[in-house]
Order: sequence, then C-alpha cells, then structure tokens
Amino acid sequence: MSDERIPIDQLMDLVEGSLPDDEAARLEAALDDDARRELAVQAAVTTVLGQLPGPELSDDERRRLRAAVRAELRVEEAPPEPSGGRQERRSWLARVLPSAAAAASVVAMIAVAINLVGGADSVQEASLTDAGAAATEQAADVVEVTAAPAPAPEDPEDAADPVALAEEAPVDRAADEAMAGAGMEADATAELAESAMAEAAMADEALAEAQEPEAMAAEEAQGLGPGYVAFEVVTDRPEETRQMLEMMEELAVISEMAPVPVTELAERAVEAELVCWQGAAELAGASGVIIWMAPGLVDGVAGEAYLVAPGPDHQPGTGVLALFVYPDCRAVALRAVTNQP
Amino acid sequence: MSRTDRSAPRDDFVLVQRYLAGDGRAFDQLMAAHEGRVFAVCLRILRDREEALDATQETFITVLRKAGSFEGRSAFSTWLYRVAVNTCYTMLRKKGRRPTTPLPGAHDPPDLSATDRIRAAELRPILEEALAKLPEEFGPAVLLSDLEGLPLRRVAEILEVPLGTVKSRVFRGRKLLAEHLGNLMAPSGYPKEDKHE
Repeated sequence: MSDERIPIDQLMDLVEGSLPDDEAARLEAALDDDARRELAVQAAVTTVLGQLPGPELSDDERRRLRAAVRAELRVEEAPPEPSGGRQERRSWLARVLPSAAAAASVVAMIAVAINLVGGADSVQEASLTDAGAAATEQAADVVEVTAAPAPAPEDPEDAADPVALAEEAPVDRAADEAMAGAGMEADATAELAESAMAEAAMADEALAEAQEPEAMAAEEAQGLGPGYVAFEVVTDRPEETRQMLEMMEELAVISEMAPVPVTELAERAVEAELVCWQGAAELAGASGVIIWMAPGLVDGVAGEAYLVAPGPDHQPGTGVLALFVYPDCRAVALRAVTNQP
Repeated sequence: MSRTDRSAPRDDFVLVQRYLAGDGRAFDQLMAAHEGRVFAVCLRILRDREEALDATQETFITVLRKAGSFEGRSAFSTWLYRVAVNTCYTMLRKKGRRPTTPLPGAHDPPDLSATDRIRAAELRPILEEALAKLPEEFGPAVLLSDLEGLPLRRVAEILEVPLGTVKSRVFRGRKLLAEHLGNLMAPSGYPKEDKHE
C-alpha cells in the first residue's frame, strides 16, 4: 500500500492540510494512484463522520447526572442567580455574608461600598485598553470608596450560623437604621428632588427594607454564598448613598488595607481564594502593588475587585478600582477612586 | 454532540478554583461546559445510554475529586476526555464486551457517494456501530479527532501517546471504517444485506 512508501504521518499531514503549500505540492506530486486513493478514502471518512449528529443529553438525563455527581461529591445545590431586578431594588449597602466555612476568614474580609457621587457624568470608567490612562488619572476624586472590616463573629456558635451573623452584623444594623433615616430624609428633601415619584419610590424602598431586614439577610446569604461581599454601584441615589458612607466611615479602618506587592500577589490571592489577580497584576504596572482585593458582587454579578495603582500620596483608599466578573475574570470596569473628600 | 459546550481552558481553571472554594455555581458551570461532550464520547464507545451516563458520572466524580491537583497546565477537558475514555474501556473490559474480533475484513472499495447520503437514517446506526467496533487502539483516536473535532496534537495529549502514533491510529482507524462502510454499501448508497453473518 501507499502508506508503506510514504510515511503515514506525511499522508496525514496532507489530509489535515497542515503542511506548508510547497511541501504539500511536492508530496502530492510524488503520490501514486494507490496513495491518492488512500487520501480520498481518508477524506471521505472524515466527511462522513463530520456529518454524524452528536448524541445529546436529555434534560432528565442531565438532571440525573448532575444530581448523582453532586451527591457523590457532596456539592451543595447552587443557589439561584440573583436577578437583575432584585439587584436594582436592593440598597447599595454592603452585606457581609459569612458562612460557617468562611467565618474564620471573615475577619479579614472588607466590606466595600462604592458610591458614584456626583452622578454618572463624573464617573471615570475605561476599558482595559485604557488601563494606562485610567491608572494615571486615578487621583480625580470623582468616586468615593470607603471600606470597613467585616464584623468578626464574637461567639463561635454565631459563626456557625451564617444567617444569624448576617442579621447581627453591626454594619447591617446601622445601615438598617440609616435606611429608615434615609426614608425620612427623602421626605424632607422631596422638593429638591427631580421627581416626586422617584422620591416616593426611595422612601417606599427604604421602608420595605427596614421592615424586612431578616428576610433580606437570609435571602442574600442564600443567594451569594460563603464569604462574599456585595459591591453595588448606585448612580441615582447619591444623597442616600452619602449618608450610608458616613455611617460606614465610622466603622472604616482604612489602614487595614495592606498593600500587596505584585510579586506576592498570586500567593496572597490564592490564599484568599481569588482567581482574577492576573488582570489586576497587569494593571498594577509600575506601582508594583495591589492596595486591596476582595471577592464580591460587581453590579450584581459574582466577581472580584482590586484596588490598583495607588495615587502619589499613597492613600490606601486611592487608586484605580478594577472590577472583574466570573467565570472568565472579564474586566468590566476601571474606576478611579479615592477615599478623600 | 454538544459542540457548543466548549469552554476555554482559562475559564475552566477559574471554575475549578471556584469549585474547590465551595462555589456550587462553579460546579454547575463546569458540568454544563463539559457534560455533553463527555457523554457523547462515552455513548459512542459504550453504545448504551445508561452505561454512558454511568461512565460520564464516574468521569466527573473521578476528575472533580482530584481537582485540587489540577494546575491548569493542560486543558481541563483534556483530563476529562482521558478519564472518560479510560473509564469506558474499563467498563467494557469488566463486562467482557470488548469486541476481540476485527471489523469485517472485506476490502471492497468504499462507496464515496455515501457521503451525500449519510444523513439517511439507515446508515447512522451502521456507522455508529462500526465506530464502536473499532479496536481500542484506533477507536478513541478516530472518535476524538473526527467526531469531537479535536486537533491531533490534543488527541495525542489526551491519549498520552506521541503525535506520530495518533496520526497512525487515526489513519488506520479511518481505513478500517472505510472498509467496513464500503462493504456494507450497495452502489445505491443504501445498506446491503449483511453478508458477514
């Protein structure tokens, strides 16, 4: 047979079209009839197989398969994805959601709220291709960031109950009180609002949230999973957000934002079970440090946030906030931030 | 075949890390990304849906149990395929079902016009059967290359053999299939009466 005269791997290269043109032409010229027939057979079988429809899993088979694997591996049922509408209705308030598994590390977690003070016009956002420009413009104080350590569980028994922890978190309690206050504030400043309807909606929302903090906490705890910090960006309620920031700042210990050298970033990120650090490392560039990093919800989508490229004053809350979302660590936004007024 | 459920290696690495961190959604995403193709491979080897489901289940359990050792140096799907193929052939051996006889040894020329008629329902089962009967040496190579559409280099990675060996296996596997199909095809392109029995 021809394949005894021309090595099979060369014939295969011809079939696969992986040879350079000149080499393919030379080889083809050297083929005898048997070899040509062999190539035709190979091509025909490839075509035939390529036309075969693939078997599909039925919905029931898929369900059974996942249930069986899940049971064997003791993987908990994934909570439903938070809906966009739900996210929009929710307060910007950072919700720390420790679980039993994550309770030990919650102490080190940082709850962050991002407030786009001044409205959308003043927000600096850039694509990754604009990273360099964004990094150099981070000093523009158009976005405020405040940070507070997550509440540490005081009692080990509490730590075993994520819902109880979420409910008892001082940040949440203070925020809930503030939310009620925000509702009154909304009433008082209604004349200044662009729309009375919008104000009423705010008040209603604040009231509803004040009435349902436990349900909210339970729902969030179930929806977000262990150890997550919720990031929310609200552009249409600056006054409410500003009040909340003031509350948060009382709790903030910004100095705990320890810079992480890029050389240690991978190790620290892995320890913190973060996976999007590579993009942040690139953005850190010449600064050589990541100021802060944490998992969370980025505008309602699970992801991670990194504070990179500190400003010249090395204020720990100043820099470029890079937000990434799972599953592919897609960079969704860069925002220049500062904790300075 | 679920040719749409491919995911990039980087995605898989991220998902595996999240799965290891206890993220139930990552588990679902990993399953969704790969279950269809793993099942397709298993079904084509085993020719029985329930057994293929068992093999797919076993594959994911095996791989996810060892996910902590996955460092992302190779594609997660490479690992999955490797385990899937091994699992299926182990099942076949345990059941003693692996055909030890070669495919029908006739040497009629293949009817190339069959490529136009392959959609005919009559031919599909024959082709699937012929695929399943390919010796273990050739079957996975042809399956991964020509049905899953994987580059030969990845097939070599999955089967843990040199690239040249994969080329040879795919080449010879296709030849066996062609001989089998050519023998079964009447000039009209429809299956002949099985003259081998």
